Amino acid sequence: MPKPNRRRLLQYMATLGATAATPLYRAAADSPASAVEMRISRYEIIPTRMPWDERVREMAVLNWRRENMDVPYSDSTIVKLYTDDGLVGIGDRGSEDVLKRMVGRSPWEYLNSETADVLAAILDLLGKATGLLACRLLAPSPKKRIIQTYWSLSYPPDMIASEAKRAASLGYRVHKVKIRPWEDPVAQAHAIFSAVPTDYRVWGDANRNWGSVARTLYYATKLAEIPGYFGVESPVASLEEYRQLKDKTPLRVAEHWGVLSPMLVAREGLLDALIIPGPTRGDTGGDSRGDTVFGQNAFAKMYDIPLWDETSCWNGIGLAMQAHQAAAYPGIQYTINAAVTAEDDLVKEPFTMKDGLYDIPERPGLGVTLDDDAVDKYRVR
Amino acid sequence: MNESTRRDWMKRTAAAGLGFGLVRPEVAQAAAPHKLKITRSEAFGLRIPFNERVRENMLENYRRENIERVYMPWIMKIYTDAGLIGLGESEFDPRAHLQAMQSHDVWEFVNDETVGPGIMIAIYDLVAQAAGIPACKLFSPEPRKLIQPAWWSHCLRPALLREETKRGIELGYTVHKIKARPYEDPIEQVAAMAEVAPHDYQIYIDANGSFVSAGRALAVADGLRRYSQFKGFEEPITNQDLVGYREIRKHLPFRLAVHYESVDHRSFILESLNDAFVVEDFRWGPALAEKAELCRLTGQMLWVENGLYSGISQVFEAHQCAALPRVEFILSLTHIAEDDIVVEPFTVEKGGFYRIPQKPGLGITLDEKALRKYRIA
Repeated sequence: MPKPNRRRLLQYMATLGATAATPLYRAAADSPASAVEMRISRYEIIPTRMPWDERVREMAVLNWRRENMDVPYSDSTIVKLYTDDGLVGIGDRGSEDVLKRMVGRSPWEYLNSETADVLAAILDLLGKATGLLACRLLAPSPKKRIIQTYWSLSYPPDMIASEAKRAASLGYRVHKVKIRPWEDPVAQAHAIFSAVPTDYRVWGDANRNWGSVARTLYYATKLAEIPGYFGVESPVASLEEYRQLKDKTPLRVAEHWGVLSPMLVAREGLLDALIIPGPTRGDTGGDSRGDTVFGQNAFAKMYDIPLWDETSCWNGIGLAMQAHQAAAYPGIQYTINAAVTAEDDLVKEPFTMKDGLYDIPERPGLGVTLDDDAVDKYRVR
Repeated sequence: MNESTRRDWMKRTAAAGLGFGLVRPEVAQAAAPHKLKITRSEAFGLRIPFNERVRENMLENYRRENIERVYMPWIMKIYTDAGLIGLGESEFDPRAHLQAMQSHDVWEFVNDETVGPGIMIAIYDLVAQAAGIPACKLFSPEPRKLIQPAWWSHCLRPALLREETKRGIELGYTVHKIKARPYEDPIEQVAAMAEVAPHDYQIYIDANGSFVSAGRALAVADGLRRYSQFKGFEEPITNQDLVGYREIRKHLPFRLAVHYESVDHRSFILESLNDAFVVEDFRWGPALAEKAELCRLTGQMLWVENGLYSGISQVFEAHQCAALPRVEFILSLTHIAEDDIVVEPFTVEKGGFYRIPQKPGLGITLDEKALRKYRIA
């Protein structure tokens, strides 16, 4: 028997009397040329607005106010990509301009393209189409588990201790804590380590609040005396200050990708880790624009400078994407979970940690399910 | 009106009495993973002689270097249950890998280097055919339509090199890489080429380390200054001589390229010792893309020479490189072989560019007659 195909089907329907004017014929004509020749048929962009979780809300809002910002929630975008054969891929970002251009095209065109910024939804879609995990689409032998980091704003010592205790009980073993002028980082660190197991580790993110080399060295020296406190992110602002800090601080020093030229970082050995930020938060612009995580991973491997990944840390889809990315790219050492401070992460599956590790979901694609009720609840109308 | 979906249509088709004798069962299971099973494969060992134009001179060169060299590519075909056939080409016998892939889904091998470079090409060919897109679009949604291939000559006698230059120009090439060896004078060679080359023809000399020292490399460069078409050296001295490269870089007024996989590329990048990396490790997919991404960060260009023996690797090279940043030239050796065993000619357009085929997959047809003619295994 000849293999059925779309053309043959249309010919056959014509013999049955179906014409181009009939809905049945039109639907058949719109159907894919073959099951694997799927095309993106439409998309949805769902803006969401997520309040801080009640346990940290008051202090989170206060944190931002102290920095002259009004941030009662985090905004994130959910994207659904539909294909003409009934598959749906979910992602945590994508612009109208890009998504519009994708309609009618094969999702395979975007598999190796991060620049379109829709990779999460594409990996989810292609994973579902092929039965492969998202990380396997990126690399032939991905890791099975990754290290995820708990995230906190700058809270008073008793509260940060409570958060650390919570993180440890949830299975986290690494914690990123914001350092701000209104709290003493040393007091915070002592409070944290009084509440957690001995294998717990912390790095502080100063976001340039230490301001000077002298102040950085003052705090870094004190913090390094606390076992488990291992690093500081963005302690200073300029290339010259990083040059002065080199080899002087006992903590590992990290900075956002693109703040300093990656080649200068490698040539002069200025940093011990690079933070790879997402486009919506922490985008440093400049020469980081257009750099892909794929390329950053290549750089990290070559110069032994690990990446700490916060490219998509504000909801469960993004966290799953980060996890798959970290499983596929050996240059990524940690992924960061800021959604621990949110009221909901918008996916059904819990993000379960054990002994500091997260097991990559074993279902095709990203392996997480969008919680449509939650999306409906938090969508911006 | 609600949008008509495939699923709606399937339901209505069933209601209309059109059974699954016409519509494949897997089409009805839209949400289930698609299958594209490998049903069988074939591998052909070929021996393709050098083209008559250059054969005698090339064989003489290899004798002088005490090596035996003939083109012995392996061509493979991977068949699927959907009736698609993927073409691949490898330097090595792929049969053991092909055997192990039998009955597996094609998807399992996407971006998987462990199957070897030849099979990787065939997998990309199959995936792109299945998706109905040219292979270049597996690597970028907006690949370039044209790519610049370089003409290539071994270290031929000046008179023959002049003829080869004329031929390259007639065929549309604007970039020409030649080998330099101790038995020919590179300055005489370039002089012969310059006699027939237009002003914008680019000539590069690949010494494969045969200039030995920085001093000799710079002396040769000095003699080449009068030929405006001469643009640079590839591997003038041995790959390990970092001190020599520093010296060359300091004084050389021409471009400098080294092999990515043979030098300490970390040091070359950090010290900005070269303008381009030559890639010739026959690694496709993510491994090649990674080098391109890295060069986007570091500023070097890539000259990709992964496609060597037949039109299959040559055209796949063009596809992937058209989708990558920083690739300046691609290079293949098919034009010095007697046949490229592909039906479609590798036509170079005005300006020296090859237009990427836009048919699904590689977009080329295996020349079965040529395959039979050159088959030895």
